[in-house]
Amino acid sequence: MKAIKSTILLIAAFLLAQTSVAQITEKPGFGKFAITNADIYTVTNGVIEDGVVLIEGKTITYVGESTDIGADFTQIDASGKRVYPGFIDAGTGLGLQEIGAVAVTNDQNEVGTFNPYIMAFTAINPHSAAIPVTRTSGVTTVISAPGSGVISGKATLINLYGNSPDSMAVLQKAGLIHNWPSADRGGWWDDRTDEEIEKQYKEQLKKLKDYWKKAITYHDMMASFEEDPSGKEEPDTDPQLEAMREVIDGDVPVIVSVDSGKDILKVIDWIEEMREKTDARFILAGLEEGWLVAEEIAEADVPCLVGPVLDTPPEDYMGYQVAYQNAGKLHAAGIPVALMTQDIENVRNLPFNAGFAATYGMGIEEALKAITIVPARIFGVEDKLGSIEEGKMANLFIADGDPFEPMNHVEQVFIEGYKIPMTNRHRKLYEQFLNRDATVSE
Amino acid sequence: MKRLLSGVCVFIVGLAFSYSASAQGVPAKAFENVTLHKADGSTVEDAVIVWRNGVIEAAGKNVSIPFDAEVWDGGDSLHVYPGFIDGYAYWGSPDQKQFEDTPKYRGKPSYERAGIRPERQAREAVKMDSDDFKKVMKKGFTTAALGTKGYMIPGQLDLFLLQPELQIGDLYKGGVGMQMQFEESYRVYPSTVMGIMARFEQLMMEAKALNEWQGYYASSSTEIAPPPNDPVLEALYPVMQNEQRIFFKADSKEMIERVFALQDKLDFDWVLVSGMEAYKVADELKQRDVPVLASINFPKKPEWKKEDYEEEGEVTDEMQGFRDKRWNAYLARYRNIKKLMEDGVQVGFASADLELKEMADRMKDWSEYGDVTPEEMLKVMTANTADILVKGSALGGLKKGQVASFSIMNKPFIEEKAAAVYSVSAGELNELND
Repeated sequence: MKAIKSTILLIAAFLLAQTSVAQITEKPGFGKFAITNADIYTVTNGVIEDGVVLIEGKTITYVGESTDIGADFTQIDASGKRVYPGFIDAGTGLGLQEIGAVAVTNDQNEVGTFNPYIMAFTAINPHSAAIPVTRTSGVTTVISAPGSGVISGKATLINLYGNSPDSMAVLQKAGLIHNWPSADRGGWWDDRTDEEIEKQYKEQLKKLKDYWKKAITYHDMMASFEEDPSGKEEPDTDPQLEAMREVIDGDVPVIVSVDSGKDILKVIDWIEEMREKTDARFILAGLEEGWLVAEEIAEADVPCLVGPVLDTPPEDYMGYQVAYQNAGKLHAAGIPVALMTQDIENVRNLPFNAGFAATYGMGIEEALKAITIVPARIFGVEDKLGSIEEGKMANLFIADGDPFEPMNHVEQVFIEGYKIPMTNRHRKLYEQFLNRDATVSE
Repeated sequence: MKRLLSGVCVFIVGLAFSYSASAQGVPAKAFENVTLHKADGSTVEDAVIVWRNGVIEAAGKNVSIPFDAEVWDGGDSLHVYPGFIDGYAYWGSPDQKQFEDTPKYRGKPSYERAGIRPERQAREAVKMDSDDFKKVMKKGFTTAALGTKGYMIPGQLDLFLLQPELQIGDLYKGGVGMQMQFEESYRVYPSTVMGIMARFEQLMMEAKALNEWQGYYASSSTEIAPPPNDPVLEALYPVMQNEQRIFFKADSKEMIERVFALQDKLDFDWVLVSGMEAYKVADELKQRDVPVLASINFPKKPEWKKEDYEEEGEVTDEMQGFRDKRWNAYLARYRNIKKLMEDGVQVGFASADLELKEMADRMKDWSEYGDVTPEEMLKVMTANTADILVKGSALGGLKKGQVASFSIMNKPFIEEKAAAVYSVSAGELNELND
C-alpha cells in the first residue's frame, strides 16, 4: 500500500514538475531596476506622480520624483501606470495544501487539540501551483497557517517566491494559531440541545484554560531556574510546553480565531486575564461579528485580522452587506485592521476583498493599508514590508490601474528584488482556451 | 612406557591444534574457468576462485586449486561477480500495518499507533521464509540491509547475508541504522509533514530527558523517583549520542532539505536513502558528508519513448518541445547517481520502494540512460554500498580474505536475461536453477 502511495506521489510530483517546467520557463530577473514615470502609491508617504523607484538587489534604494539613473540599471517605463507595495494576506493556507480533496496533498491540519510545537514553516511547499497564481495578482507575502484543534501550531510569514521555505520566510514563526471554542450552534446539521452545547463549550473552555495554566506554570518554573539555578534541581524539559514559552514571553503573538460577538467578548476577558499573568501579545482573527462589538475590541486594544470580506452573512437574518462592512466598521472604531482571505487557491482575490471593504465603508486608502502596512505592523515587520520606502525589501508591483478593480491588470511583480515571471497555471489555461478553434477534427 | 604415552598424547593434541589453526578441517570450494568481475571494474578471464570456511582464499588467473577443494567448472561461460548489496531493502517485510480505528486521544497516540518503532528489529518482523530472498539472489544479490515497512520510524535495519531461507545465524550485523521517513500516521499525530518534523524533535528531547533521569537515578541514591521503562526512547539513545546513523528515506529536494533542517537542530549522523532528487542538493550532501543509498525506482518511460511505439499523427513543434522537456526531466532522474558520483558524494545502492518485478527494467534504464559504465554500476552495488553500511567491512569484493559472498551469473549482469545460476553467500553455495 505504501509502495503504491509512494509511486503515486512520485509520479504526481514528477508530473507536477513537468507542469511547472512547461508553465514557467522564464527565469526571474535580479539586479538593478529603475521603474520610471510611474504613479507611486507609497502607502506611508502619499502618492508620487511620475516618480522613480530604484531597486538594487533585494532592496528599494530610491523612491522619489527623479534621480540620476546609472547605465547599469534596467529601465522599466511605467508611464500611465501605478506602483504599489506588494499586498500581504494576513491569513491563508498557501503552501500547506494543494488540492483539498486529495489527502496526500493536504498538510495543513495536524491531529491533536494543543499543538503549539507544530510549525507551518517546516511544511511549506515552495512549488505549489497556487503560489504563482497568487503572486501575479500582486499578493507578494502571506501568512500561512496550520488549522485544526484549539492550538493548531505556529503560522509563518512568507514571501511568494523562493525554492525553499528558508528562502521564502520573512518570519518562521509569525503567530500561534489559537481557535477559540464556539458556544454557537454549528448549523442546520447540528442537532445538539442548548444544554449540550453549553456543556461542551464549558468543557472545552476549561481544557483551554487548564492548558494555559499548565503552560504558564511551566514557563515560570523554567524562568525561575534559569534566572537563579543555585540550590534548585533542574526541571525536566517538556517538549510540548517548551513551545509555549516564546508565546508567553510575547516573542510570538497569539492569533485568536473567533467569530461570534459573544465569543469575542469572552476572548477579550480572557486576554485581559492573560495580560496580567504573562507578557503574551494577542491578535484577533476572523471576527465575522466583530462589528457588533467593535467598541469593546477597540477598548481592549487588540489588532484584528478580518476576513474573508467576500463572504455571506454569518446569520440568515443579517443583511447581505455585513461581511463587506465589517472591516470598515472595526477600522472606524479605531482598531488596526488587516485583511485576510483564509483561502488557498483564491488568495489571488485579496485585492478584490480589499476593494469590497473599501466600497463598503473602509475607503480606498485604508483598505490599501489593510493589505500592506497594517499587517506589516501587526507582525512587526514594518521595517521590511508594507510600503514603498528606501531601505525596505523590494516587494512591489506595477499595475495598469487601481488593482482593486477586477478589469485592471497587474503587469509586473517584484519579490525581494526578483522580477517575477508573470505566468502561472491560470494564465496558461487562459491563453490555451482564449482563441480555440471551434471546429472539431474528424 | 608412561613417558611414551604422554608423548603420543601431546603429539595428537598438537596435531589437532595445528589442523585447526590452518583451517584445513573444512574443505575448500572452487570455481574454475570463469570470468571474474572485480569491484574495481577489472575483469580476469579463465580465472579461478577458491573459498573456504566462508572466506575467499584466492581469486585470479593461475591460482592453484587446493587438493581438498570441491571444484565446479564454469566452462568459460560463467561470470563471477562480488555479491550485490542492497543497502535498504524491504525484501521479506510484511506490508505496512493498516490502522482502521480512530483512537480517543488522537493527539497522543501510543508509539505503535503513531508509527514510532525505533526499538523494532527487522529480524523480528521480516518473514524469514519469504520467496523474495531467492528471487533477489537470482538477480545477483547476496547481502541486504533489511528494514520493515511502516510509518515515521519503522524500525532498525539488519544486515543479512542472504540465503534462500534466512536463519538468524545469517545476520551479519544488527542495528546498522534506524529507519526514518516522512510517512504520516493515519488519523493520529503525527499526520502531516510538519507533525513529523515536530514529533521527531520532541522524541529526541524526551530521550535526552529520560537518559539524564536514568543517569541521576543511577548516581544518586535518594529522593529521585525511578525513571520509567521506555524501550522506544531508549532505542533512540544511539542516534542521540551519534553512535548510530539514521537511514532517512526521502526523495524530493524539499524533503531532503527538511532532513538538513532537522540535522541542524538535532545534530545526528545520517544516510540518505532513495534520494531520487539528491542530485539537486549534491553540493550540500557532499559538504555535510552524507552518503546516499540511491534508488533506481525511476518513473516508467513515456509511451512515445518505447521501442514499439507507433506515432499516430503528426508531432507538432509544440508537442515535440514538450516531449523534449519531459524527457530531459526523466534524464535528470536517470543520471542522479552519476551526478552524485561526479560531485564527490559517496553513493551506494538501495532498492527501497522498488518492486522486485520492476528491477530488471529499471536496471536496464539505469544502464541505458544513467550515463554510467557497467563497472561504475558494479562498484555502486558492491564496494560502495558495503562501505556505507559497515565501514571497513570485508564485504563487497573478490579479494583474498573477504567474505565469500559472490554470484555466478550466466552472462554479464547488464545483459538481457542475465541471472545468477549459483550464489555463494558467506561461503555457502546455493544452486539457483529451478
